[in-house]
Formats: sequence, C-alpha cells, structure tokens
Amino acid sequence: MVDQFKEAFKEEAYELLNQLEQDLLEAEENQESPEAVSAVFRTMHTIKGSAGMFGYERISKFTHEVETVLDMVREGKVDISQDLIDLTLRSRDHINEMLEEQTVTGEADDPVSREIITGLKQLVEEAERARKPEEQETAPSKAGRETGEAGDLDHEVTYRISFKPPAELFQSGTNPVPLLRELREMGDYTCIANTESIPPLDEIVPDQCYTNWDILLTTTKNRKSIEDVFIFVADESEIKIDIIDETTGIEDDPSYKRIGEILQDRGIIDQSKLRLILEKRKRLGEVLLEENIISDQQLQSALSEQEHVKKVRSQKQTETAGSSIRVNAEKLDQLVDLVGEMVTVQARLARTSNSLKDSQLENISEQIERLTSELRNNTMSMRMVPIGMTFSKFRRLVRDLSQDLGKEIELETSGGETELDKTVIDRLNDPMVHIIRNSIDHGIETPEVREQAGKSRDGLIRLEASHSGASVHITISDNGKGLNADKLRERAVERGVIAQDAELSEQEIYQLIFAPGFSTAEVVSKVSGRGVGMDVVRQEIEALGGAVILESEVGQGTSVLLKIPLTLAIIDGLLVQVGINYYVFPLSVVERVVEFPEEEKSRGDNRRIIPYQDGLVPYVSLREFFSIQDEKADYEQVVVIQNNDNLIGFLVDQVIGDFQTVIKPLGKMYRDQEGISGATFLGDGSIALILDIPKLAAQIKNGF
Amino acid sequence: MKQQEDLHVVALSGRLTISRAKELSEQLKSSLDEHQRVLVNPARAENIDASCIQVLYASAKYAQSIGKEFGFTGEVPEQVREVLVTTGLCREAPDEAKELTETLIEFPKT
Repeated sequence: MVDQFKEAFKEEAYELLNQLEQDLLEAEENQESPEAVSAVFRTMHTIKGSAGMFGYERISKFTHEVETVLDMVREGKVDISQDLIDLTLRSRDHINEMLEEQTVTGEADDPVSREIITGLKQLVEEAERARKPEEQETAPSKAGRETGEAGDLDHEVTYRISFKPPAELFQSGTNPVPLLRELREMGDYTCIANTESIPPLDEIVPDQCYTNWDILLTTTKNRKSIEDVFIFVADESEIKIDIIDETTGIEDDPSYKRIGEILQDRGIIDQSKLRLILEKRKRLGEVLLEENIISDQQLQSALSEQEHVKKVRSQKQTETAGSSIRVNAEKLDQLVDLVGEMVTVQARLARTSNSLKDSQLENISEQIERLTSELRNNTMSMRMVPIGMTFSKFRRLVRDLSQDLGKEIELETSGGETELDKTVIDRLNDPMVHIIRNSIDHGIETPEVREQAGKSRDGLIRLEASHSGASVHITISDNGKGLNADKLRERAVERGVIAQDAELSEQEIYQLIFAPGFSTAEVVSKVSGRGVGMDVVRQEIEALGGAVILESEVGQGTSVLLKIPLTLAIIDGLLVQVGINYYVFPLSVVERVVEFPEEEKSRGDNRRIIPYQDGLVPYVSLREFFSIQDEKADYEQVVVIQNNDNLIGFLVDQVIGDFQTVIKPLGKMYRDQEGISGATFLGDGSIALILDIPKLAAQIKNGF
Repeated sequence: MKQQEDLHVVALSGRLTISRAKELSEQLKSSLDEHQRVLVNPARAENIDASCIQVLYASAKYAQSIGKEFGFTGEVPEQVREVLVTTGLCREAPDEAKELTETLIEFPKT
C-alpha cells in the first residue's frame, strides 16, 4: 500500500517537475513578473511538502534549501538573474535524479546537492552585500508582492477588510452599498455588518452612519485593486486590509485558525488573557461573552472568518482533487482490451440474432451495439491527452541547446490542446527531439550569419498541432537557412545513396535526408549530425502508422509535417478476403478500390501493372505475397493505396467493407513478421491480420 | 398604511434612500408609539440603502425597549434581497418578509 502511495507521489512529482521547468522558463522570460516567481516558489513548496509526507527526506531537505532562496526572491530581497534560473533548473534536474534513487532518507549532502546549495547561498550573499541598509527596511512584504498597480495575482488570496466609515458618510451623499457590491463581484465574499452601534429609534439621527463592516474576500485581485474600491472614502474612513490566507491548492490544510487565534490577530484579546481563559476548559466563545471581553458581534465576525476560509480551502481541495483522478495507464490499456473483446462478442451476438430472426433478440442486440459503441468511444477518449505537455518539454531543449551553440532561438507553440492517444504521444517524443535538434543545429544560423543575411538575430522554431480527420498533423518548422539541394545531392552520391547521374526533383532530393546514415553537418556536433536522426524519425513515425512530409526553401527555413493517427488502439480499416484469410488495410491509406481488369488476368508476362485513372499503377497479389494456396476467386479486386506519394495496388479476392478495428498485438512467434502490424477478431471469432503498409511497400520495392 | 385592531402595517414603496430616512424613522416611531404590533411590508420597495436599513434596526430596538412587537410581512423584492446580502445583513435572504426578523443578522427579536 505504501509503495502504491509512493508511486502516486512519484507520478505527481514528475508532473510538478515539468511544471517547475515551465515556471522557471517563464520566470526567465519575464524577470520582472512577481507572479512568475510566485509560481516557481509554490511548485517548489508543493514538491517539498509532498516529498516530506511520503518519506523522501533527501528531496524534502534539499528542496527546503532551494525554497528558502526562492522565498527571498519572492520577497524582493534577491533579484532574478540568469545564474539563479540556471541553478534552479539544475535543482529541478537534481530532484528528478533523486526521485529515481533508492536512498530516500538522510541528509541532502551529496556533491551535487552541496554544489547547488552553495551556489544559491552565494547568490543570496551577493544580493545582501549589494543591498543598501535603507532598502532592506523597505523590502516589499510577502504574499502578493505589490506592483503598485491594480491587477490580478496568479493565485487566490483571502483578505480581511475592516471598513469603518465616518458617521457623516451618508451626509456626503455616499452610499456604501455600491462599494460593497463592487467587492462582492471580485470573488468569494462574506460580509459581516456590525450593527451594535445603531441606537433605538428615539435616539437615532437617520442621516448618520452607525454601521461598520468586516469583509472576507477570496479573490485573485491584488491589494491595490481592493484599495481602489475605497478610493473616495479612504480619507475619512478607517480601512484595514489584511491578507489572512493564501490558497495555493491541494497542499493546503482545509482547517483554519482557532477562534482564539483570530481574535488575537484582530487585536481583540491578548495572549495572556487567552491562556487564562483556555485553562477554564470551556468553549472559548462562551467564556469571552460571559466575561464581556468581546461582544457577540465580534464573536460572530470571527466565526464567519473561520467559516469563510474553511469553505474556500475545501472548495479548492475539491476542485483540485475532484477535477481528475489518477489512473494507472496499464489499467486503461486493460480496459481498452476488454472493450475490444466486448466489440467482438457484440458482433457475434449481432450475427447470431440476425440468423435466428428473433425480433426480441435483435432488439437487445441493437441496444448492446449502441452501448458498446458509446463505451468504446468513452474508453478511447480516456486515453487521449493534450500534446501541449510534450510541446512544453521542448522549451528547455531549445533553451539549453541554443545556449550551447551560441544561437538565439525562440520557440512558439500552437494547438497544444490537440489530443492524441497517450501511447502515441509517448512515442512521438524521440522523433520530435531529433527534428528540433536538427533545426537548432543545422537549420537556424548563428545571430551574426542571420544578420548578414538580412534576417532578425533571433531564430524561430514553431510547433503546431491540429486535427485532420482521424489524424493529427504536427508541424515543426524553423526560419533557418533551409536545405541545400546541391549539398544534399553531392553527399548522397558520395555515400552511394544515389547514382551520379540520377535525375531527382528538388523535393526528391530533400527526402534523401531520411536515408539511413545520411548527414550533412560539416562538423559533427554533440547535438546532432551523426546521421542517425532522420531515418530513425521516419521509421518511428511509420511504425505509428503515420507519415513524414518535409518541405524546405533555401534561406527561408524547413518544415517537417508529421501525420499521426489519433490512436493506436483502434483504426478504421478496410476488410478484405483472400481465400479463407482476412486482412485489414488502414483506411487512411486507401485511395480507391477498382475491379481487376479482365485483360490483365489473361496476360502471360510478369508485368504487374493496371491502368488507373490517367496512368498506370503497379500491383501485387496478396495471395502470392502471403503464399496462399486456395483457389483464386472468379472476380478479383484491387485496393489502391498511397504510400509516400506512390500508388500501389493490392490484388484481393473480395473487398468486404469498412470496419472499425480494435488492434491486438501479435504473439511473440509472429511479432517479427514483416508487413503485418497486428491482428483483430471478426464477429464470427475468426482473425484478420492488419497490414503494415509502409513495410509492405518497402518489401515490394525490394522484390519481396 | 393599513390598520387592523392593534396591528399596523407600514407598506414601503419606491426608492428608500437617505433622502427618505428621516421620514421613515418618524413614520415608524409614531406607528410603534400608537400600536402594539407594527409590521413592515417591503413588497413595493424599489430599493433600499444602508441609512433606511439602519432605521429598521433602530425600530426593532425601540420596539423591544417599549415592549412592542416589530416585524415584517409580504414579499421581499429581489433588489432589496440583494442589498441585504451585499451589506452582510442576511446570509441568504428569504423570499417572504415575515422570515426577515429571524434572518437579519443581529436583528433585535421582539
């Protein structure tokens, strides 16, 4: 059980570390923004708290040291600097490493921890030396470092606002209701009117104000925004604004201060009196009222504060905990498998009910079909995750590599909300790293070269994602120097990839970079250029059932489009039959199905070409490819598919129709079978093999 | 104003702002002086401000001090309910005015 909790902590910690990385990069870009620093501090604080709770003592102690420095930054005592960001990023990486280690207890006194902490302490010492004594006295207060302007904080703060207007308030024509309404509209609002001072009717002066208010407001507005509400009454009123709580999320304990603490905070009772009363072991409120130490309204106001903060904290916890639950990915995979089985059984039920012609059974079968379809869609949607998290990981990559190479590169992303199956996203990481590294290393020029070419000093890498039918398109583009077709051609000839006299279009030359062992970098760097990149990229993407399309323009940049299927678990397929065997083509590659021409049947030679539209298309008989011995069908059909801009026909006995396929992996014995990517069950329990088109096409090209 | 035995109903109407606070206070005082039981009906009030709310509180305190009953009747218009909640006098204002005596925070019960 404990291990299970630790696993949950680790998962959460990895997410928090990713968040921390993003927060740090944000802080690096917006060094003047107190919100960015607050975000870094809070994430670090959460990591520390959770680590301590789950027994990761080393992480907790190390994080505590880093957090102390970040708190000083938040308080304005230490400035954000490049050194600070670098050290905090290193701290983040070090925490990541410590999470992987088995030794969780003890001191954070390993060499890396010591080095980082020493570095951070040096920064603090430097800052302290640089600060003048008078500045030290006027450092801004914690919690919502003031910017001097009205605006929003990046987290919620609870204010206790005490508003005591003067007795003449009404006479000056001021109505406090709109003012209170303005506060109410700012967030979660509890108002306590203190009406004790209102005299009886025979004593009242109706145009005098006898009421004062205690307001509890939980909002993201900063202090200045609250002060601005009182701008016209501030001079003559007593206004006190205190921050009594900062809600940062799930780490907050929903319980709040005891009544005694609240009254002490408000200066209504002092500590010695409080201690004396507590010794009486009666309810504090009762005693305070009995002894006339506080008024009923003062007690009610304190109780309201306690209730308000508890409510806000509980809401925050419910929002954080209730909006999502963490489920092990394996359990989701099992669910998808079970749904796959269900789909198969449902198809058998449909067949049986059709053959029995029992209307009641048919009715039940249809209902189950609808439910199964909904269940399948819902289950698949659970595995979908936005690609934005993957995109954001690349910010660090771009930052670090461009610094190493002395380049100035910005990363822009769009479409981060586009969702893909988690399995697909996990497998996209490495190919994307390759492409981005190539862009940084080979594509984008140094600032000096860019300036000479009349370009801006900053290079740009754009990551874009969008839906396109059952696929997602991911584009990685840069505004670098583009591919040099002459150089590529030269290298390809040198490496024997193409013949000296090969006639290739510019686009065809660009595709050569996907050839195994191809590299154009003049100097092999640690970043890329060992020629193991782009061919692996294509293989990986094709293994996902996707495609890579590269475009480039000299001097303008290069763009790589990855077409990725939404999911690996279910595909829309075209079911065909050859003899007694069934095969599935992924529908995304199918161009058209045509009848096999009569004249081709009688052709004696080995020329395998059929007329298609205005041209000719080569075809392969699946019967021959898979060595199927059954008799040929009288009428055969050709499924024309597209693979990397080439059309290929596959001769089959019969096209049965489109079919949504739950993919089952092949057993160990068949895993290495070229041309097959998986299998699926049909309604009658028989098996259909799912064709791996890119591999099949490559084999055909090599004369299988 | 409707009168029935010892009960006097004061029907509020229009906008009850500082300009009418004095008039309202005099009206309620004379009602309480003359009748054993006074009920305020806010159904036709278009609005109310803090000064007039204070007068209602003062009326309840006065009624208590002279042994009279002071309460509410009729419906509470939306605008009035909103003001009562915004000014912290009610957590959740009821639709019916007769419940106001209980829900107005720290309102003297007579």
